[in-house]
Amino acid sequence: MILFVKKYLKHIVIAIITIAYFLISPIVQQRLALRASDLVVVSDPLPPLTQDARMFVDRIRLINVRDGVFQMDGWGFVILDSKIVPPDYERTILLVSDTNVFALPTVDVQRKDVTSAFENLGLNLIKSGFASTFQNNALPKGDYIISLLFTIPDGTQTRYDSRFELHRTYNSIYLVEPDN
Amino acid sequence: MISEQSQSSFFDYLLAGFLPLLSVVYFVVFTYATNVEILTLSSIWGILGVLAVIALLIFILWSLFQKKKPYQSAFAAFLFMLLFLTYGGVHNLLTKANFIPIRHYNLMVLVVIIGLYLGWFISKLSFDLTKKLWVLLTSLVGILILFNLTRILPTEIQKHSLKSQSMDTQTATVAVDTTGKPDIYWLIFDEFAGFDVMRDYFNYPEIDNFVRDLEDLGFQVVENSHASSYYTLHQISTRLNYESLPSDLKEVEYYKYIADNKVMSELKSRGYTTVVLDEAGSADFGFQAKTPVNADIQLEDYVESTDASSSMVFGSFGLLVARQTMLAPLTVYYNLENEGVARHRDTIYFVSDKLARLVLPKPKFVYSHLLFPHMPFMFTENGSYLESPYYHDWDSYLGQYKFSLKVIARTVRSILDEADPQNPPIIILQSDHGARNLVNDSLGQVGLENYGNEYKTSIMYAVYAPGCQDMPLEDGIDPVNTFPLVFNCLFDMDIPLQ
Repeated sequence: MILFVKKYLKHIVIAIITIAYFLISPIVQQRLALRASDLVVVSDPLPPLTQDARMFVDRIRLINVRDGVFQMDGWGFVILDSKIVPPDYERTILLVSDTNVFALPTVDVQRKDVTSAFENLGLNLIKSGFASTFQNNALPKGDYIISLLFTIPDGTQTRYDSRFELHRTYNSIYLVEPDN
Repeated sequence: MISEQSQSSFFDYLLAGFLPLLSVVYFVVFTYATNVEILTLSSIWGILGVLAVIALLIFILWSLFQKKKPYQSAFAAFLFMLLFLTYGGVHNLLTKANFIPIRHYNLMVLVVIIGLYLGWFISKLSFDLTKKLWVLLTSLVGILILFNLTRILPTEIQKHSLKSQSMDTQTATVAVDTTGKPDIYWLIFDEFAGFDVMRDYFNYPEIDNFVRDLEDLGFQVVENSHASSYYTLHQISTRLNYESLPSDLKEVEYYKYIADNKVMSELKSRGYTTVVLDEAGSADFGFQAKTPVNADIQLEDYVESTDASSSMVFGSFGLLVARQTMLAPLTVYYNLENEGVARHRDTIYFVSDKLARLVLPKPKFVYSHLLFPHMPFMFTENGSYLESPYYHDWDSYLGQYKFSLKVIARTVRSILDEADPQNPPIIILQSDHGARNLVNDSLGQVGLENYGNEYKTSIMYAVYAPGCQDMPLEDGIDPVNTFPLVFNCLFDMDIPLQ
């Protein structure tokens, strides 16, 4: 055995380095991509959950094949006594797993359909849609609950958990609606 | 003596180099043979050339590394090329298996090192053994190439003879009295969903505004018409020959039915000029091997493309092959779609803006087949362009469909504006089949949810024929009757309806 190792030491070292590179490089690359991406690691305790909100995630889709950029589309709003609506407050997507929480900035999207669907609330929800992009490789493996963080102009924050989950596996990413 | 050795060695190198080259030839020929009915032979040269150069370079590198061992070098290069050519498939398999993170930068390094080690092991084999192995492998690969050529040749001969027949049968328009004969436009919009599907599945009641606009213009709109299949070639050949053909024929059989069809023969015999714009045959994402329709005028040459780049080396077949190889990571940088998509866009604009204004001998039969709103879904409902990731996203279908309504309306209006009010044309608006919701799972495409099979055959069918008010167009009529209805009215023929 010792003789074998001595005889083929160079090749054994090359094999070990190759396998180590094969297994470890994606982890290193994910961490580098996370640093360079818009994903923000949330380390503070999360604000309380509210039930007075509505949210839906329409889809996630690959919008840039070369860089592996995905876009998440949906809508969401919080029902407040002050009747304020997006874009009067800020909305941030939270991806919450057992070990990590990531925040994603959103841009407002017009949604006439949401306005008409929630006519009874008396809110102007024309800007209740949101879109957010993120790089696939930046997100570590895990199952994430998709949540929406509302930051009201007075600085108070509240959040609403959707029934959607984002499943990031080793090589893919997909949206799951557990009830469905 | 030394000179003889070096000459012999040079000859050995020349001979040995065939093995890695043959591996490339086999790979390309095999892939072509699998798709021979829809491709043209010219599509293989670009990718074959690129892969052959790579194989030669690898052979030369091995030859430099393993001095005076031509057969070992060839064997090593052959094994490396096997890894090179199957890399894309292995990457896809491992990615799907999802056991470990698979990226090009980690898998390719592993594969290259395996390839180098295989070559190193080969260098340890004796000259005689590697030469024997070389002979064995070269014969084996040669036989495989020959086998695939036997798959290709009959179809190529058939395609070639169809083309020749099509050219031979182009006859001059017969001199007959054509006074009072109206122009006939048959406008096919590929993958255009029937109006009922728009109302019921896509929840788009505004489609009724379009239907009303057509009726206001004088169209008879048929509701609930279903194609007998959702295969383009089958549908077009069925309607152009007013005959219910089997839906499981080979592509080349349909090419034959379409190239020389009853409808255009009948019209030519009655003095019509036949005019064809067939994107199903000319577009990058159509049937490239399709025999041109036997017509007096082909309109493809009239379409001015604003982005006529000549930088296309690979084409769609080349890209298909490249994605299976170590060139796969580079294919995302190779924007194949730019030229094809630009040409497609220009063809759509040509039909809507220029088709009616062309000065062509009358009376004319114009057959226009646009692969629209078929994939690529490149337009929003307002006609602005989507980016390529949306091209195969069925969520973008409705937007493109809505834009196609505007294109149809514009096309129809321009035809009517240019028409002689004393001799109005006949305009037939149809889709070949409905929205089929076809997806490629391997590319991660996602289709429409809960989309019924019956929707796939639901088509648009509307006819403007002011001179044929009694045409028995009934809701639900089979589109195989498209031309019998017109001919029975115009030429007092008595073709039975089906």
